[in-house]
Amino acid sequence: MSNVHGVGNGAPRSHGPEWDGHLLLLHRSESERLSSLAAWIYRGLDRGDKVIYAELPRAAGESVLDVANGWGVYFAAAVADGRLAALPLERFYPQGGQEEIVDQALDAGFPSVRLAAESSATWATGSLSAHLDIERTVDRLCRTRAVSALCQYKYSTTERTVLHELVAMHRDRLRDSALSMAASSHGLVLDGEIDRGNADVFATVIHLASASSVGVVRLDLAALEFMDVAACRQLLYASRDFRQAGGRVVLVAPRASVDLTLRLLGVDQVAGIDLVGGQP
Amino acid sequence: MSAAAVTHFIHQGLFFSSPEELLAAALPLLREGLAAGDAVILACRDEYAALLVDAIGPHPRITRLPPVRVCARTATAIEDYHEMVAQRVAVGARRVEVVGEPNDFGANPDAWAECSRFEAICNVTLAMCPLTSTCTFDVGALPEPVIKDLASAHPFLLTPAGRIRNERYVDPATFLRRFAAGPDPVEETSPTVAFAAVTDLHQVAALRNQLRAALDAHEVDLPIMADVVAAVQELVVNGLVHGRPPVRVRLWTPPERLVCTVTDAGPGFDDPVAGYMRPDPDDAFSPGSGTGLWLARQLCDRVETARTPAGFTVRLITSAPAART
Repeated sequence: MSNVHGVGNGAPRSHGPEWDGHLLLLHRSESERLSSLAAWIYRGLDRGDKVIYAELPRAAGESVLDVANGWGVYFAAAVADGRLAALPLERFYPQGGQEEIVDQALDAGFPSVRLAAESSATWATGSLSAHLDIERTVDRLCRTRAVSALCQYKYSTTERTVLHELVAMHRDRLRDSALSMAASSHGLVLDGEIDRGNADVFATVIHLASASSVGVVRLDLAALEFMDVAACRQLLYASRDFRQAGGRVVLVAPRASVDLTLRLLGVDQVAGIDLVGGQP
Repeated sequence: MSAAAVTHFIHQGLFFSSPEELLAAALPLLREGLAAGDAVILACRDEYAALLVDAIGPHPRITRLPPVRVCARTATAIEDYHEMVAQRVAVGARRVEVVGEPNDFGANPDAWAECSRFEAICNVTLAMCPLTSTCTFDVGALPEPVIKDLASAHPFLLTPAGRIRNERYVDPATFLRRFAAGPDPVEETSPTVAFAAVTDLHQVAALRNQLRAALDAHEVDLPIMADVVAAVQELVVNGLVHGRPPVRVRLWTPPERLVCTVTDAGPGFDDPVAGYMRPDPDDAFSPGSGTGLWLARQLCDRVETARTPAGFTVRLITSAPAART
């Protein structure tokens, strides 16, 4: 099975390196957000990071510490000895505040820092451009310092243009309830399922990848479990300009069921699409 | 118009009561076709194929195939025809002449009905194909009603006197409405699983997982499971996007088969040939182009649509071997 957490309502099934880096989380429900946040925190504590999460005030029993189930005791111990800290959003979000938080943690001797923020809540109260400035700061910290960040956005608040901005800002790593995408040395690695419900996210990723690529966009499909007609449509739509300009989209190592869908629909016959088996 | 100018599909029935009648009708057609550069495919019983080849003489553009197997899956059989013709045309054939005969499938009325449906649908889906399909039927070996049904699915009849327009031909949509299989008897029983109604596109992923779990519990082979899940996905999305929520999925698991219904609350449509025309990937499967229904038809043995008091139902039926190997 893939690393993506259980579709719909399940807790994340793993807490490996897929949670590191500057990660965009598109969630559709509070339980989905919390289960992802818990896995992300677990990953950080496991690595010895200083883990800081900023979120809106929550009623008793509704914070990530309360709903972490099996990890509750572990998390409580980490809070007690200062490895895990909650932060009010207003402390996290002033421009420049993030760098200060990082500096403090590194100065305290932690090898690396993790920052999580309930981003859509803050951006709702400010302008999009100001919010994107902060995202740029976080992105820079993730690239230049020992920092990982989990930026949580409620899916319904992400309109098409905003989605484009957010994906552009997190082009190395993104996940929603069914799909995770990560940039790697051999292309974009897709893990999970793409269907009519999240095909717009997929399209945005393809569009951005093809806009910034020269000649070839490679998609590693080895861990992709499902693609429907809508996903195939978006693949073709989003890459059309790129392919018409001579670019090629290479679909690598699809599983049998995905391979069948692509071939039945003739996606492999479309100009500029190459479907190749074997190792990614 | 000369014969050479014909580029479209010609579908004709050849109802014969003796091998002599078969030869008398088919030979002129085949000789003329070969002379004009056509490829000939003989997919009738060996005895008749041998008679035809003996009469014509060996020819590099004649291929003999086993008798036409009555397709468990009409939609894929149509794609096979497209491919067969494309291959012959690619190597220089002007068009393809097929003389086919359905395999003997005894007295199974379901199989005959499916054969009739295929004969009707191909009038639409192969319409632009450079193919002449001559379907031969031994009137002595078939029940009278079956002959009558089959005859009405062929726009032309081939007789020893040549091709004539079939006065009893019924247009495909009318034919299919008349021969719709309708609800499967198992639908009168409680479903194995009635899944929670879906009202939003974002719930479909969870539905897929529930469907997989149900099929897994019945030890359905993984490729069949993947096909059914992919087919249901498209029909549920269609129900949500083109129909009206809620969309309800029900699954029955009678021995050796899977029966699944997808019902939305909308008025649906009445087009029994929808979803048989191969979508064009260069057109990027624009929404509403029927691509999802086409895919479902490729992945399941039978897909039927019906307007019901509950809304619009799409029924999927597919064979599923008894146990996972």
